[in-house]
Amino acid sequence: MKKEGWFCISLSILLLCGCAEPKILDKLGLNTTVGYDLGKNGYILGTAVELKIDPNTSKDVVIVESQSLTIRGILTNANKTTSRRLTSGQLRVIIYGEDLLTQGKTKIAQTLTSDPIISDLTYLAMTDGKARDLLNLQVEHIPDIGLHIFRFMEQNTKAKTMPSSTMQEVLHAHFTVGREPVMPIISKNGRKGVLFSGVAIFKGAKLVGKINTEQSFYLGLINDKYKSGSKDILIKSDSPKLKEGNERSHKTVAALDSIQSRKNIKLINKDKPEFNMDIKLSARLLEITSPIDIGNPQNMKLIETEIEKSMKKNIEKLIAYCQSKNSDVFGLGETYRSSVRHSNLTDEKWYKMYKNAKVNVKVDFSVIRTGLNE
Amino acid sequence: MFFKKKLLSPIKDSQPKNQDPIPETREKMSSEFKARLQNSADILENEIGSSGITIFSIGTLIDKTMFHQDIIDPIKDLSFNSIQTVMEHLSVGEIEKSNQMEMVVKSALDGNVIIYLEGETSVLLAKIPSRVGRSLTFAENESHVIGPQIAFNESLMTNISLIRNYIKDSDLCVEDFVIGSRTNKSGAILYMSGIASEQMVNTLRQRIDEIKIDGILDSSVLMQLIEDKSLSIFPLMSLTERPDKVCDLLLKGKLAVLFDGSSLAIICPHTFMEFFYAMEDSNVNWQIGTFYRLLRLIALFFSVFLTATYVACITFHYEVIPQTLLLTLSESRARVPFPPIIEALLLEFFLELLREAGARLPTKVGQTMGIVGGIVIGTAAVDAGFTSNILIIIIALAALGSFVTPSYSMGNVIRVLRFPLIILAGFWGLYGIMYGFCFLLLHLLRQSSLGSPYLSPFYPPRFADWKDSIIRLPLSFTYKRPDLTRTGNENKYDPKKAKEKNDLK
Repeated sequence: MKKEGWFCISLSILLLCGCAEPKILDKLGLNTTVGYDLGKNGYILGTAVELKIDPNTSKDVVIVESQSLTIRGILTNANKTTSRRLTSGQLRVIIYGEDLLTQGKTKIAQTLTSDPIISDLTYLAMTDGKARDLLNLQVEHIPDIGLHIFRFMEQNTKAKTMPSSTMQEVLHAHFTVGREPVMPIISKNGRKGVLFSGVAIFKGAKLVGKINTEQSFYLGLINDKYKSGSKDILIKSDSPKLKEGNERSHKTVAALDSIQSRKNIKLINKDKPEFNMDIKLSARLLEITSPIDIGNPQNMKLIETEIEKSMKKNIEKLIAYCQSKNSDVFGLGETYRSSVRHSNLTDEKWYKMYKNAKVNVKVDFSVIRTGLNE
Repeated sequence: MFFKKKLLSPIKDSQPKNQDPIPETREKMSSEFKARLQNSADILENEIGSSGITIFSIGTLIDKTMFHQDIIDPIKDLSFNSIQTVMEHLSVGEIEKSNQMEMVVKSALDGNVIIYLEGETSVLLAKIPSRVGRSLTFAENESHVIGPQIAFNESLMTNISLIRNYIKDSDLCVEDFVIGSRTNKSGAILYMSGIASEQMVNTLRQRIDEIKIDGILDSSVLMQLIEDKSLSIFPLMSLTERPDKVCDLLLKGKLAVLFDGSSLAIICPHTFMEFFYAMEDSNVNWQIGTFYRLLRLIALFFSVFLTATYVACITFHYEVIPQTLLLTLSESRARVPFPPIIEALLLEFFLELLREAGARLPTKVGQTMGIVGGIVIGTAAVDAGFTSNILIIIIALAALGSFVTPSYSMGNVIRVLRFPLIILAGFWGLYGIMYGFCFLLLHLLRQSSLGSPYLSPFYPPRFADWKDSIIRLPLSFTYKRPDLTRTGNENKYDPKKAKEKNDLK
């Protein structure tokens, strides 16, 4: 008994020996953000923001660039230029250049997930132009562009301004039949910083379209659940009460806050796909650029219906756009598959139907209150 | 285990049984007595006037005032013809008669004076031991804010009387035993008959009886000899200096062992969790008590695993470090020339040095240790780039965590356990910590205290006992005695009646 015990202990210690390879924090260069662009001759151009902490220098961030035919090769090649071993364990954001994604079939994200050290919660984003240019942005108030982009995406994703696009979510949408991934587009805001400029729409791994940030809100309404968030809604109404804006602008805009939304998508016809999309949302009306008396319940009703109308129109426009690009970012196919028994849906089958699928949008909006001190 | 066997193996009795009767003449008696006590310089031989009585004793063991007042004074002017009449004149409480020389010598060593009348075949043994020792003091090693402040001292009689004062019940059993072929120290097993399990009492009695050793000086040594497994690093029985704690546990059906010359009582069976309870938990509100217990449990985990986790994260798993901490961590690490494992071991070693120095040095010097340590570790070491300041915070936290454990012996174990875990973490990262944790858990699972499972009430699960484990529910819920003690009398009080409120209206 005693002998066996010792045998087990020594065996397990021996086995454990192979487990870990030391990676001491202060001997590593930590990639916090990586950008991938299309290089020459089919090469991939990688740009990495390396966090290299050295108390003797004032700058902690180094931009490392290298080229390779494989994604892993980029890191290996980049090592040739650095004093610390580059690692991806602290990778927070991956940015793709537009040219790489228009090509499609890159399998970049898939390669990255097979590396256990890279977190599934890494944000993926696209930039219009070159990722390299974005990461090389030199602005005084952004000492660490990697950290800045991460915080920027985190903040906007939490506030639901941006669709959430962690690696896990993107790949899930990518591999699910009847759903396509989206990624936020981050672009340079001149020389001032970065900017969320739109949402990229994919079919498979190929970039097929872009929508603007205005539309991205409605995409969020369909795909997600709002628990908070704010939005300006442009109202185009024929009603005389809402027709004119104020002296500054002639548009009527309602500012909403604390938006709470729920959506319900239901398949109602499986032969000729037809969906009912009910979106219920409530919000606080904080501001309206029209001299309408919001204390009056009837006016309130009017505002509500006008906002509903405006939203409905926008959502329909968005769906039509995506249908024209043949990309089902709403997951209608998934709803179809889950509602129809033995559908054996494949992407091919679904996209034959998707183009002509009919979506009946119904928006139910209610104002919960109009500010606090009115 | 084999250590114990060695100690328990019967030692050859060097002194053959002596059936020698008491010598008949005074000279013979005197030389015999002195010879048996190796002609020690402190042997007293008093001839009392004309009475024909000689009193033998060991002068350093008897109370001189009593000797004069209660023994010499009443008999000095009288004359006697039989030993029985002497007895009638003495006003000492404990008097015995003996006709065995062996017994006479033994009782002389116990603080008896031997009253010898020439021509008699037996002698009188009057017990007037000197009370060498200190008075009762505050419980300084296990101090509590709320609750009795008294602690045991080194006298067995005092200690038993302290407990008798708490538990005025006829069921309180005090069984005495003598241990050590040379030291001949007495001790006592205490338990509540009817509450404590008969089987446990028998086991404990048997374990104590089987000890054949030349001498035991403290109950902590006795504890090591009667523990279930002497090879475990964990204390399998508890030592306490608080009489109120002993009484509380006696009432729960546990057994206590008091030992003459030791200010610590042994309590058994004891579980792992109970080392983290203090008497104060039951003296305060149940909410506060629960909070304290949770605090101590968290502190335990911090203390054992925090430094190791730091080492593992810095050495292997840099990806789990939150982004916000990354900068500060690597900045403080950047100047340190050692790998994290060496850094951590060094600093832990440093802290242990300080603690040990503080404990061993006289109190006056000991206080400066804190200052030296604070300045040296806190400022100079970081400034010199010797260690990172994050590690100092972690080590300090871990050290604090080990000090909140109410039991000193368990606190020691916690401090020592850190070292192997740091080494495991330094070589194999979190796998190593997990390995160490599993090893510890398995080890704890296998332990028993007086035959009772050490991890009770969690393993084996005794759900009723959870009410007074890491949480402490109000007294009206904890009406049951713990299952651990296998008590014959399960309830402390009637649970139904406890819920009634019969206020006067």
